[in-house]
Amino acid sequence: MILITLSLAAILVAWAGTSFGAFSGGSSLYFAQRGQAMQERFVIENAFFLKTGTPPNTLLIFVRNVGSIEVNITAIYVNGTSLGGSLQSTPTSTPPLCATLRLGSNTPNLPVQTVCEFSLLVTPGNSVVRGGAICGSTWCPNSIFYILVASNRGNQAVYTARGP
Amino acid sequence: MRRLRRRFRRFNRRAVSTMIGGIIVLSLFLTALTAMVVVSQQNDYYQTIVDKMSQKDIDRFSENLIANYPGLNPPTQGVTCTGSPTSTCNQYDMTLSNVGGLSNAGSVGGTLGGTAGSGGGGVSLQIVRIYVNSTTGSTGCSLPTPPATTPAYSPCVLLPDSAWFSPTPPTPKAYTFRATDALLNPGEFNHTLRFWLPCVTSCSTSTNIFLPGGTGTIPLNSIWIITARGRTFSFQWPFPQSGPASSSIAANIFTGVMKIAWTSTSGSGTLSSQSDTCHAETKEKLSGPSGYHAGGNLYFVNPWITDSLLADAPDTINLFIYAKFTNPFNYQIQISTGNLIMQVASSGSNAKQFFIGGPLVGVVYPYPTGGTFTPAGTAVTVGANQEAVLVYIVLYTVFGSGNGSIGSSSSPAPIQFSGLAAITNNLVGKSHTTGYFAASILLDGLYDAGTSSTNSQLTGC
Repeated sequence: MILITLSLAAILVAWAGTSFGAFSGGSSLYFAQRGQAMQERFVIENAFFLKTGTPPNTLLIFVRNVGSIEVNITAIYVNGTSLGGSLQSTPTSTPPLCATLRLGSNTPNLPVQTVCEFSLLVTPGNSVVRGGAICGSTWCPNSIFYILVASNRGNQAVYTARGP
Repeated sequence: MRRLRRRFRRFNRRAVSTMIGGIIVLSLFLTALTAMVVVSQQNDYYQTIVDKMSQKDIDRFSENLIANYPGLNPPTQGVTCTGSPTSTCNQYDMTLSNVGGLSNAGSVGGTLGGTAGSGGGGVSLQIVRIYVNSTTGSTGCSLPTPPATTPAYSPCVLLPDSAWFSPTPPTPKAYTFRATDALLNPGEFNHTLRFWLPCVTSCSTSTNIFLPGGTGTIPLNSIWIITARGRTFSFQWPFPQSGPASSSIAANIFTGVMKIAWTSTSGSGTLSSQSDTCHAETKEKLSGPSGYHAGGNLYFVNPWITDSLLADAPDTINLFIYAKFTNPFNYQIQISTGNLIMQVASSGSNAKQFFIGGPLVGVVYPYPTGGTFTPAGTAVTVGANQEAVLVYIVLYTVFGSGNGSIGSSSSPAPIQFSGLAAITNNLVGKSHTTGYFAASILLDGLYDAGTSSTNSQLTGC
């Protein structure tokens, strides 16, 4: 009887230990991830619409990391459409910053208190245009652009801009 | 003995079961306790982060930066600077006020509202970047490509210069602003931030970045100021004109409230001391003025008050005075007593435009036609209802690097003021004539003094 009791006790303790261990481990991971996400702050400090130049219809988005840890920008949406494939290789403003920053895989992190300029080519072909945001080779007057920048931790920064 | 041993065996078996049960319960308890300790530690760490970031958010949203009139001063051209592709720059000075966290701070666009520290704190801020975008013009920050070579400028992106901790003044550099100007203390007003834009070939030609100004009604430049906490503050330059747009005088007059102090209306008198009940007003606050800043607060004092708060006055104000007198006297208008601004013939008018720096006190002296002006001289008898004075004093918005174009205004001449104490000393104890006007005109305003010598609007008492 004692042996049976001890066996059941061992099983109970093992089960309880595993359960509590999984609980504490999951909680630790949750709080760690939430803590990192909480420390992440980034803002879209400005958006500019280029009407002329090469190429035209270029949307400049300046993203600044104002948080406590590095940020990994994974996607930029304009009017609900991802424009990762429309990134231009050479920022046009001065000084050129984050020229090597690209969305998607192998994206370098954005250090704290740094700014990256994303140069996006907005054309009717990349499905951003809804309701006539692009009129031929220039912007339609008063067209609205809802810009969303997302990080790999799930945070977002949004910016609503009216076209020139 | 055998009986005792039997009893012990029976007791011993019951104790074993109790101990086993206790050990099981204790094991379960310790396992749960360990897990809870670990979870609590993680939760504490997470709460620490939450608190820290919450405080940062509070600081961030407490920031409030406003640009003071005139926003940007006319640039100093041809400043030697570094940076490709130029060796000369246009140097701009921007005037800002940090009113963040001040409960008594002026509203957006206000200049003189709020007192440092009155809100019980405030936050300092650091400017980390400035964007300038010109909506038109061939020389501003509006072109996708520069007139010569790189750097391109659309928009102009200004960064702090590198001489952050330099013991010597930093060397100007194109597309930078002075890093030592980037920090604004809590409640710091009229802070000057200097930046440089390049001249590609010559600052005197169009092949440089010269922010467009002019006299139009539409502000031609948008300026965004980015702080280290990620806030964006912007203003348009030149400041929007609130009045109707025209190059004529009448169309550029902004209506508002103006106060004119009035001394005796009969006989000669001696200007009393500062305790004169008619002029014992302290600093007054105007409500709802227009033409200066929307929602801004303007102050004025009368010339007999030595009010240190006059330091609130902006460094530079562009003032336009148009005076028309309808009675048979000549007039002289002085600013800060002793600085003759202009003379107005009897039943005539005159106009002039000024830059002023510091407290502004205006005085209007009448004297007979053909007579000479002597502030402390013989009294001039002004008959009843002869003080038909119509004085327009207008503070107007300057557009661009020029100084506006209001009517036939003459070229602006800087006027330095010697301080209010000197003004007071000049006035107190001196005899003045009947009909002496003393106007405090640090405001935008249109005032009709009326035609009655006892116009109650003039008394201020």
